[in-house]
Amino acid sequence: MALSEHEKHILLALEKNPKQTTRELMDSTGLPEASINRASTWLASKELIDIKENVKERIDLDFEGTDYLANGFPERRVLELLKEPKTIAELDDRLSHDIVKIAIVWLKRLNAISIKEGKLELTKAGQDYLKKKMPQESVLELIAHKKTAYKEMAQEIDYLKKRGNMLEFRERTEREMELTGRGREIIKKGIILEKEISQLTPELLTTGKWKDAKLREYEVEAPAPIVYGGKRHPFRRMIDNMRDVFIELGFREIKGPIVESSFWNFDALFVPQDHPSREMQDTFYVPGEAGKPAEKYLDNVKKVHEESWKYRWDVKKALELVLRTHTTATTCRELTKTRELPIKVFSIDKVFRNEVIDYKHLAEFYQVEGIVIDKKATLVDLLGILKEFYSKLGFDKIRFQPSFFPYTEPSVEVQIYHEKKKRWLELGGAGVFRKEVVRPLGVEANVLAWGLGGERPFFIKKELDDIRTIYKNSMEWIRNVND
Amino acid sequence: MIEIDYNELCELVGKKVEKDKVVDRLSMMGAAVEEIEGDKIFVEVLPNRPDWLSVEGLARSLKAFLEIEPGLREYKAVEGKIEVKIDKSVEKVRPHIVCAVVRGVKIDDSLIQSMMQIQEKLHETFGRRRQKLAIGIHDLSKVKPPFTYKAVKPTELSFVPLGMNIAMNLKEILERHPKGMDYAWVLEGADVYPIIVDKNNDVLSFPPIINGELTRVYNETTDLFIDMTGSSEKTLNEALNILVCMFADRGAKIERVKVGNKMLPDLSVSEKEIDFAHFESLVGVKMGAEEGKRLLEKMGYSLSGKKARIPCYRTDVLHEDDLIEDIAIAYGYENLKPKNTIFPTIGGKHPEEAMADMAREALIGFGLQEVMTFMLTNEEKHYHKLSLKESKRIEIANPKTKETTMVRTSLLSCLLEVLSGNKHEKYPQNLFEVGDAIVVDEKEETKAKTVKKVCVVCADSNANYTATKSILEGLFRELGRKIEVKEKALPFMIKGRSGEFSHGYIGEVSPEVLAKFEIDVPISCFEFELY
Repeated sequence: MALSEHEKHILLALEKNPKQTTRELMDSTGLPEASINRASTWLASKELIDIKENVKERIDLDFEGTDYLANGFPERRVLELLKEPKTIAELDDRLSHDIVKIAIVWLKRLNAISIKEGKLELTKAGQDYLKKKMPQESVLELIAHKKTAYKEMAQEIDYLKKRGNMLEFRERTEREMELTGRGREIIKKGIILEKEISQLTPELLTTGKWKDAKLREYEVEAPAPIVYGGKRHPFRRMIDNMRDVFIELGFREIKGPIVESSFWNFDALFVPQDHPSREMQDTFYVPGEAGKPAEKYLDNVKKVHEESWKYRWDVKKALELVLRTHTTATTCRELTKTRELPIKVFSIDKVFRNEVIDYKHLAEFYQVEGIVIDKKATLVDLLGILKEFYSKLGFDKIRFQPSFFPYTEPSVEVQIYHEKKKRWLELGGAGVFRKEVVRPLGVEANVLAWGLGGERPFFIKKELDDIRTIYKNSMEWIRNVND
Repeated sequence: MIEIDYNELCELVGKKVEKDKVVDRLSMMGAAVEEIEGDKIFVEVLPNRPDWLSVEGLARSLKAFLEIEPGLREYKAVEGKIEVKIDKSVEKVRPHIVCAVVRGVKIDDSLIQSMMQIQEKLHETFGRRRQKLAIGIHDLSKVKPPFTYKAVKPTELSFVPLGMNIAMNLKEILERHPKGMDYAWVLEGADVYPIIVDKNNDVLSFPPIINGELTRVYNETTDLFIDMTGSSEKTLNEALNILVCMFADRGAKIERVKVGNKMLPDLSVSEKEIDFAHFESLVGVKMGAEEGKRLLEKMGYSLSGKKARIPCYRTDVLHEDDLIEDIAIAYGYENLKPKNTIFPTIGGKHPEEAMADMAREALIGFGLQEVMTFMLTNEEKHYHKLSLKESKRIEIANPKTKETTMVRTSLLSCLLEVLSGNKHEKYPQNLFEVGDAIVVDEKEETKAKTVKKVCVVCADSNANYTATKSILEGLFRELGRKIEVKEKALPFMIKGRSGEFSHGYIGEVSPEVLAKFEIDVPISCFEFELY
């Protein structure tokens, strides 16, 4: 049977005295507590020793106890001052009022003081205590030096317990190790102690001393301490995944301003100026006014709004600043940049809604946005891209239903299937940008567009119950969640 | 969302259709079923289809969609003698009114339910909370035409409002009546209020607030007078058509009213040219004229030559594309086969995100854990807890809660917050975030600039400046940048243990700040602008 050096030491110690506590073994082997504990656990698993555990109460000094031991009990300090009779006021001048108050209570209990003509003076018993210790003092010292066991001092300890913050009681498990029959047999067969080396060092290697060294065998099955490496945030991993899929599919990443002008966030997307989504309760507004977009876009957008919706379009309202409510504002800006077709761009970025945050609503979240611009792009191509995109992310069940957005026609709602909840969940919207959106910005081709929730698929995949979990950054969750 | 009864829907459709099929067909028609409780079906009505805000409207479309009765349903109005005069005084306060009469209505509880529901929904969304549109439905027999729409002084006139038993003047209604208090904002700032009265000066309605008790509709009522007032004449006419068609579907007769100099409602069919070749170029599926015609009829249109005829209750058909979408819906989204067309383009990361990826990779290599936090914060968390003076920032004009009054300008307070929430977890906690902050920049089009920042916090019993500086310098080496740290006192750092470098700072967080975040271990940190 393979025995480690520590195990051998313990067996040899037990051979002399077959029943020992951890503390006793520490003395008899000279090993630290942790080594005794680990080695004896292994010995017990090999049935060479038995381990008995006894629960014992252990007393330590609490903070006031520690203070009194160092600076003296209040009653001792007052007693010393009362060698000459004094009024309470006089005592207060020398010590804090709280200390004087406590001291008087305890001195009275010991019959050590009396009051004469408004002054405190020592009684006979008080005079005696100038020369000897008060009971509380003796007990405190005994405990501090662990000279006596708990049982023998029960009464005195109770006495100190009442004062609060003097003593701290803790339960302590004491282990007792005893040699088994098998253990004895092993010892009989003889245990050879060699000097074992635990760590191979460069010195051993360079000097060649390793040839004579005995390397200690490890308990290779023993549990190792836990370490946590650094890694990406779990949700970042999904975002990166999505970005990779977009790039694989040939999409180029774009970015746009977060503080956005209403013109790009709403007006250019054919959202009428009195549309409910522009109301204060849905959109975060920022004080100030955006710079004007190019005159031709301003005129074209004004015209298409006024002709279609029959109202007076107000440029002031279009220049109001908002925290973008969707990254469609970013793709919309992209429409004005003329380049060779086809164009495929994407963005996975933060958007903002004026929501009260709860288990299913966030005020800021990620939107997965993309557009394809081409003369030949059609609705079924859009569905093909979305199906491919989500299937690469592991969502094979996807479906499309009719929907409505002011800026797309036709519009679809994208849904993925939640296997656990056995229901379809809405991911967001997609569609072909309306001519009222693309023509004023100078695009003659079809534009396929989608803006889908970023957190939703993550929420489903990780089976979360509360969307806030993602941004709480609990180390417990982050360290233990895996892909 | 509206609530409809399954049996009533079937009755109006004229055929018992299985519930599962009803649910499926409604959703694929574009009226998504959100919830089913017994015979109650809850339908999410999209904002482009206000004609679906009643069981009658849904049944009308479903009947065509199931091809039980496809094609255009034309509604006719008979000429009538009732007249509504519009007084000039309303021009400034609530300029437009449209009206109609419907006769021979069989009123029962379910119709009253449906009436109330469609009124409420039209008010809220289509009517922008009664500003653009408010509806009044009256028992015609209780009042004497002609009616007058005019504006009066707030205390000039009193009447018994619906649901009350005493007369109140208009001012009192706005101040004390529950509806008055809810909608007083629509009339805010006006010195006269709109009112509809009959020949005897009896009040029908005080739009957009409340009707009079006098014209309350009971089960015995057979003839209705409908008024709609608001700011947009186009919206009013659309809503009027939707409402009268709903009554017509219940067997009532629509009668025209002379409003000002117009005869309303105008239920005429409109026409729009349709070229089925455009279906293929937009949807990607071939569409023959024969099938196109059938699919149009399935959506309640008819085809006459090259023109689609559009029923009077449709308000959303602006463009040929709207017809094409409806044909696609009739074709069935479930029948559209997703296609893998190659649009040859080359993909790639945005340089900012590529840089962020590089920084993340390097920091993870140093053993740091990434976190993701919110950009919205408040002044207390962002400045005061760090002993910082408030600076220029993006403030939110209309925050819903005190938690979100500004956008962060830096990341440190967010990471300290994370550490504060994890004080019972195992240390070391060496964290980083590569995230956005926003700074005010008048030169930018939107007066703000998004900056990508990197923030690192090392929290451990032996966290220290030097170890963190090693990471900072290591990161800069990985990014191929030079760094030179100069000593600089910062209000949230320990004196003599902080410094600054180009667009960044580094140091050990002061115990005062740690105490405010209730953090019990030392923290060293750095933050800088990456992009």
